[in-house]
Amino acid sequence: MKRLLVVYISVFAFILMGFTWLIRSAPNPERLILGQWKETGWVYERLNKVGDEEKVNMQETLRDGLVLHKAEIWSFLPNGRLRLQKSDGEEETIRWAIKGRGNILEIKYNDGHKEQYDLSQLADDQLVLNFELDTQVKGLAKLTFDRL
Amino acid sequence: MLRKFSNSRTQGDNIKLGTLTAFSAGMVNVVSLLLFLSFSSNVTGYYAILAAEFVKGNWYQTAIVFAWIFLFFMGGFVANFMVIHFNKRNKYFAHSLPISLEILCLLVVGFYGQFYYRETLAETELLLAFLLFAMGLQNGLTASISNFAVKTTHLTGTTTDLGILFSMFTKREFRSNPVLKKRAWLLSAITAAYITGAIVAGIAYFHIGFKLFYVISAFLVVVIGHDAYKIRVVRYYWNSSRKKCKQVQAQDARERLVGAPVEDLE
Repeated sequence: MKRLLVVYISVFAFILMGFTWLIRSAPNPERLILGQWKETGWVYERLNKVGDEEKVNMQETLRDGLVLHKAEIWSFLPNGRLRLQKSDGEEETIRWAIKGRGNILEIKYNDGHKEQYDLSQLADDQLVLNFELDTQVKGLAKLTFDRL
Repeated sequence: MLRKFSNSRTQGDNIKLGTLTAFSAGMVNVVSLLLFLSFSSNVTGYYAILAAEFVKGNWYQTAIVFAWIFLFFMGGFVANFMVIHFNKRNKYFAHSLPISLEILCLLVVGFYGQFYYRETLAETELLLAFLLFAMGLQNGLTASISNFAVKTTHLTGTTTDLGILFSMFTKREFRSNPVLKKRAWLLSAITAAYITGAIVAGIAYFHIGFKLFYVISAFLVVVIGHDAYKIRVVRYYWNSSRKKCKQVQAQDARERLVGAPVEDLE
């Protein structure tokens, strides 16, 4: 019985140590995202079927209406603040949070509107976000940012 | 619902336990998805995500997903540990302890979320960890005491079993089999309860947010309370019938003493 107890405790302790080591050695997405990012690319990765050019055009016309495309420089500040700088120099400060397992960026506008982006890539120099558009405008929008 | 174990359980016991716990699991899963953008009552998808994150070299995400899977595993471990080790002392206590622990986890999430949650990643992951542990406890308990007949936190196996059962019902010999019919009713009830819970949570979340965890806890209190009430009622009837029996015996003895012939008394 004592031997069994030792085996169980050892296995659990090993798992706990492995987890602790992994979590300490890996970069935390919440810290990694802090700083200024400049939007460098905006593409639609997926279309419903071949010959969806009309939809692409529709998306092109709609994209200026989407809140996510309003800013060119995104500054992620500590305490969940995000400063969006538009090309005309106008600024807006909103809220950000990383959720899930560190794979979803949630942006909360001052009017309560929320947007969720998939954090496809978060490296020292590049940030790639994917935004799933709604059913009227099918497709997966990919935004690429470079660190300033 | 909780007093009986394994094969001594009736279909009614399993349906009551299955529907109530599936309803609460459906609620927990949807509310965690809306609040934390991650599921908390099923881990099948997390195994695939674990592999994907590992391949991509996202060690932080790999560690987090691994921890969540491990906590679901620990929930099942702890629930069954309690059942098999405390069962001989008090069956009801052994079976209600994992549910009590689950309620505690849900209350912690509800209370912290309502008053302290600042939407940081660490908080999100920790609260999700509590929920995954709670769901592991629930699934472990229901599966353990029902001889693996009732599993309520995810519907993969349930949907597969229902598919198999309904294909079997295309043959008359299986349609008239009472065991298979009972199984189909149980699984259908669990599925319906899970979906209902999910829809109710989806609507209620926009009105009460984190307070929804108190509502889910209240449902689980019903699971524990139902049997506690039954035990009290049974005990009351048992005691009163014993009392009556003793009174009748005493009266009988008195009558025998008074009316008995002299030689009998000697």
